[in-house]
Amino acid sequence: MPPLLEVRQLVKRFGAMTVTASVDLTIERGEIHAVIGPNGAGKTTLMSQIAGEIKPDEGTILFEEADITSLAAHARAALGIARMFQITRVFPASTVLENVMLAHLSTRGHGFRFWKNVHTDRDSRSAAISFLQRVGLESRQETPAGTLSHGEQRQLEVAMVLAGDPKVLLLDEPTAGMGPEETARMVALLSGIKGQQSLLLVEHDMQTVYQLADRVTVMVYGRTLASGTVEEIRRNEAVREAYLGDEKGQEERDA
Amino acid sequence: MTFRTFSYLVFIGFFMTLPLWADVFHTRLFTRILIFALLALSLDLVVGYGGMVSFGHAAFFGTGAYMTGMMSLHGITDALVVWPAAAGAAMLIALPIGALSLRTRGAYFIMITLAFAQMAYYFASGLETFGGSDGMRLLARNTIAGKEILVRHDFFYYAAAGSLAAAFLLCRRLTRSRFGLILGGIRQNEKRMQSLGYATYPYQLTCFVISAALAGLAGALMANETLYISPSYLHWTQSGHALVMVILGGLGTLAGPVLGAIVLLLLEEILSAFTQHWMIVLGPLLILVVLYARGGLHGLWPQKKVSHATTP
Ligand SMILES: Nc1ncnc2c1ncn2[C@@H]1O[C@H](COP(=O)(O)OP(=O)(O)OP(=O)(O)O)[C@@H](O)[C@H]1O
Ligand SMILES: [Mg+2]
Repeated sequence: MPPLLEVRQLVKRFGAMTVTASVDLTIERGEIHAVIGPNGAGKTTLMSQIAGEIKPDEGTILFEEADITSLAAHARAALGIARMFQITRVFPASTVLENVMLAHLSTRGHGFRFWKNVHTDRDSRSAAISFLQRVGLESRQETPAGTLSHGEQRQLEVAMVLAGDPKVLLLDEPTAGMGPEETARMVALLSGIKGQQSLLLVEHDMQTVYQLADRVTVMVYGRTLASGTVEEIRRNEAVREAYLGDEKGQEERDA
Repeated sequence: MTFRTFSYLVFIGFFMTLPLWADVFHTRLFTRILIFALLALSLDLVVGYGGMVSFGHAAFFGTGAYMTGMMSLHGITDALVVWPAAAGAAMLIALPIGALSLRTRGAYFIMITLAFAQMAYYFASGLETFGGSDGMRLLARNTIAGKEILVRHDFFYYAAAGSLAAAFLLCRRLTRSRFGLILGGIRQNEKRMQSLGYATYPYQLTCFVISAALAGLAGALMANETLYISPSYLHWTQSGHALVMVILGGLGTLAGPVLGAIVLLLLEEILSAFTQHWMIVLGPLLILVVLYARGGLHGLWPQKKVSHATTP
């Protein structure tokens, strides 16, 4: 079976700096593919190109075998590519419920409905509430999203991407800036969807990656240093030297 | 009964009965206030709900007025035809203006809508059939189903009040609908809406065009009230005036622009009776409101619960 999403020889330059240097990457159906790498490696930029917010200079992106390289961001979202941002971007003045409704309704036909009150529409409401239950925010429905704590906003983000019923989810550091408790909650949430949801995960924390990922790609200076299963990456010498140096030392000390 | 409900009832009672006890001067003054409230309401739909700061709404106001004048030159004088036609003409003008202006954002959007309105202003000034820059008198107010009842100032007052009430209820539905929810999302974060799969442009354009229809209706009403049309309808100060009403009353609420229009026009009326330099008094007052009452005058009112633009 061909992969769900395939990135071929992608190149992106910002001025003289090559931020994406001939990157190849595939996401299989139902797998969690993690991308790791030091700060500035180009992980977010890669994700932005897949989501369609940044146009690559060279290369192709295939989604369900169709070339989507020149498709606009909203068209890709409509195909089922959903992105969760590294920086939280909920709609602060809208309630938690409205935020999820916006995400959910984007999959339910056009929005040129001018008459019916959307806030009292049973179907949209109950669907939105079910997603809030999945992330544990159902008690916060009527709260303006801007007043939620950081961790809660990240949970809301997850509810929003899930509500869009995506075929592939792009998550950029979902636990960034979270306390240990909130992180644990987010990881549990993601474990819960593992196997059902194809996912591209950018993550700094190695423990989280090992816990969640099926496959891992390591990026350094815009290049892919290595790609393989969690076990292969753990054993890969180049990776250990370039990126996991600390952890290697840790393991040796543990041993 | 809460204070909020009570104040609304007093407010509505005042405006419903006004022509019964007020003299002609005040009836006409309040007629103009209601018409400007309609213009401010239409502008708030674009600015407060859509997040598009249009500085060119005078173009649509003027289009409504000139459409009324043009139809009267051709002997079409019934309000049931003329007023919808005025709204329709404003929509037709708004479609290309909006389509082009919405290619820009922020300050550029302000400038380009202003530029289009100025073009319309100079265009109207050159229309010799309509008296060029002097403007043109209208012979009589529009009829309703052939009857000349709007000649009476009190009846015309109710026509204006009815139009405002209808527009208000329409906007209320609109802002609470799925369309309104989406519009609120676009206002807060357009990029994010796109990443959710919304093509934001057609929603913004639709909002812009609907708003223009209400501004056009306001223009037709004003042409009827003053029996006079001139390029001054399209002058940029007209757009600015309406923006001040919206900001003073409260952006992103429906009652706000109505309140803003009432307060601003009454203040202008009262202050100008005392001094020629009423602007000097009004200016600082506006600055105070902007600085200390973020939600405008409407925001000072006791609110129901959480208040935010998508559910006023
Ligand atoms: N719009 C831009 N213009 C110029 N340079 C950019 C732009 N966006 C990113 N960069 C640069 O590209 C490089 C890669 O950035 P990117 O955000 O993709 O890294 P990252 O791997 O996501 O890093 P982090 O782990 O810190 O999130 C960085 O050096 C960054 O400064
Ligand atoms: Mg990043």
